[in-house]
Amino acid sequence: MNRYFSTIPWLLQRISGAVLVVLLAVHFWVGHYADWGEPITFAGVQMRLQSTVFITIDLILLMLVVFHGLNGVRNIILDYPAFLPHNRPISLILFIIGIATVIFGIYALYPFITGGG
Amino acid sequence: MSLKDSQLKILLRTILNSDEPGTLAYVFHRLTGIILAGYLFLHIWTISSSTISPAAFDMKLGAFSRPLFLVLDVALLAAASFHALNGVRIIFFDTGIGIKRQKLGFILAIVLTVIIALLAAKLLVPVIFGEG
Amino acid sequence: MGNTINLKIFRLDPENARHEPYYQTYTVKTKPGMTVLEALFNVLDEQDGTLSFRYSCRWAICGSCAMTLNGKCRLACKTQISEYRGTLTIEPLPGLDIIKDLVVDLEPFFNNYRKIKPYLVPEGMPDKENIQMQEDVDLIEPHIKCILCAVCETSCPISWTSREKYIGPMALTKVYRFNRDTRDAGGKERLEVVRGEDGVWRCRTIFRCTEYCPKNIPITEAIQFLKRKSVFK
Ligand code: HEM
Ligand code: HEM
Ligand code: SF4
Ligand code: FES
Repeated sequence: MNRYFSTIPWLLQRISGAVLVVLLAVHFWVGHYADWGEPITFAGVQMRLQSTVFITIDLILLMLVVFHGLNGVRNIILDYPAFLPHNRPISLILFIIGIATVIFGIYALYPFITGGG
Repeated sequence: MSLKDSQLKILLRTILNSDEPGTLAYVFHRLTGIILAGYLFLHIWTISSSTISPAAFDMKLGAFSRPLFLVLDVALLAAASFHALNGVRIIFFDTGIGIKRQKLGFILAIVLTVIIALLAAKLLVPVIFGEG
Repeated sequence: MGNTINLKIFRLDPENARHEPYYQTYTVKTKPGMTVLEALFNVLDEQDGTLSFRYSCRWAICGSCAMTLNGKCRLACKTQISEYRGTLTIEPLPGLDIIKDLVVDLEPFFNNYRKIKPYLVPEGMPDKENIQMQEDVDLIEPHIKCILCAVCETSCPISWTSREKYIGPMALTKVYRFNRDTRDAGGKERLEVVRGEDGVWRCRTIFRCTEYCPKNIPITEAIQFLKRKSVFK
């Protein structure tokens, strides 16, 4: 991999962060604060996820937040080479964790979209 | 005291003694980032109870609507707010805006975080003391 | 006035077999206009000839006398003793190996300096002298004032933990200073050195370098400039 590749994760960290401001604000508001104190139920979430807009929001949120969070963790690890000097393997492990998390996240949303087990 | 320990002590004192806000912003941003990343995995795991059955999902999320968890929710919102606001502050610096005003930016991030948390807490009070 | 100040000084004797540091307190009579460096001379001349610290110019020009004063990296010769009351704790710069007392090993710092070609790289053989106009100088003011004191690098939390990897604020300031110099043609090469993971991207805009630089150089601003250059290259 190119030595200057690191520009790209850095840029993506900023872009994902900027988009997340909007998505997280919507997520907090719609998911919770709009009718505060009401328990979150399967039926309620299912109803909302009938709309493609909300499915899209959830999927983008999932992918961006997983990238942003894990790349952030990677950045932190890079700052402590005395404890964890193995750059490449750590990046690879975090990448695999990320892919697995996104797949698992989609799997977790699937019942709402198809209408439950 | 060994040499290593006293060197570490000098480092720590230097961090604790910093009166400029950049250091605090950095420490808070890092801490809130780690908290949010940890929450994310917990969160997806909670949501995944949907794959067992709708009833399992309702039970799990019902537990999370108890007052104790609502208080934690406000704490989470505060952490997310600070991270987001300070994140925007950093992105401004990266585009070359407001570098000379970094201290004001930090104060703004803190003040807005407190306001958001207070507004959320205001919603919380009737839920805890009202319906019980 | 018979004012005094207690200097609580970090001591480490490399010849001592146990190699354990300790703190020693000296009381010094102060006078108006006295700097921390003068107070240290007082200790050296009148109380304890075994104390070691670096200095040369006494005029904030050579960059030798940086040390930790009450938890802040500063130049001893540029800091008035009257800023402190009671006890002043004097320690070596943090994050570097300590050789003796207040003397640290600056080799990692100068290693970073060597990485970035810290000299003007001419474009071919010049046939006449290079003329600098005021607006050319303005481009590199005040970054040209850097005295290599290491305060910025030893104030930076990222440099502390990844000393061997992160190239550090001083080297980045120097890249800015040489790359914007109208007489220089080595900008591309220098940017290649600092564009990587261990260069500009490791800066987390913590602003400690800018806050403590004794020459008031807006270091973070220079680094942010280099980040933009690195993206749009
Ligand atoms: C809400 C909008 C968000 C914005 C604007 C944002 C912005 C940023 C920015 C700009 C950075 C880079 C900091 C630097 O290089 O100094 C960052 C780091 C980070 N973010 Fe976010 N972020 C947001 C949400 C999140 C979320 C939801 C998570 C958790 C999953 C997260 C986790 C992290 C972590 C772990 C870091 C690394 C911290 C560090 O390097 O010190 N962020 N964020
Ligand atoms: C207390 C505040 C929160 C509540 C009540 C909440 C609630 C929910 C609910 C009910 C869902 C199911 C899907 C939907 O409703 O659209 C969901 C999904 C999701 N939430 Fe949250 N959330 C909160 C905070 C957060 C935070 C802070 C993050 C980021 C770190 C986050 C990231 C996500 C993601 C990525 C999904 C998609 C999950 C998947 O694909 O399995 N949420 N949230
Ligand atoms: S930039 Fe400032 S703090 Fe850093 S070495 Fe130069 S003079 Fe010292
Ligand atoms: S003695 Fe030269 S900078 Fe202090």
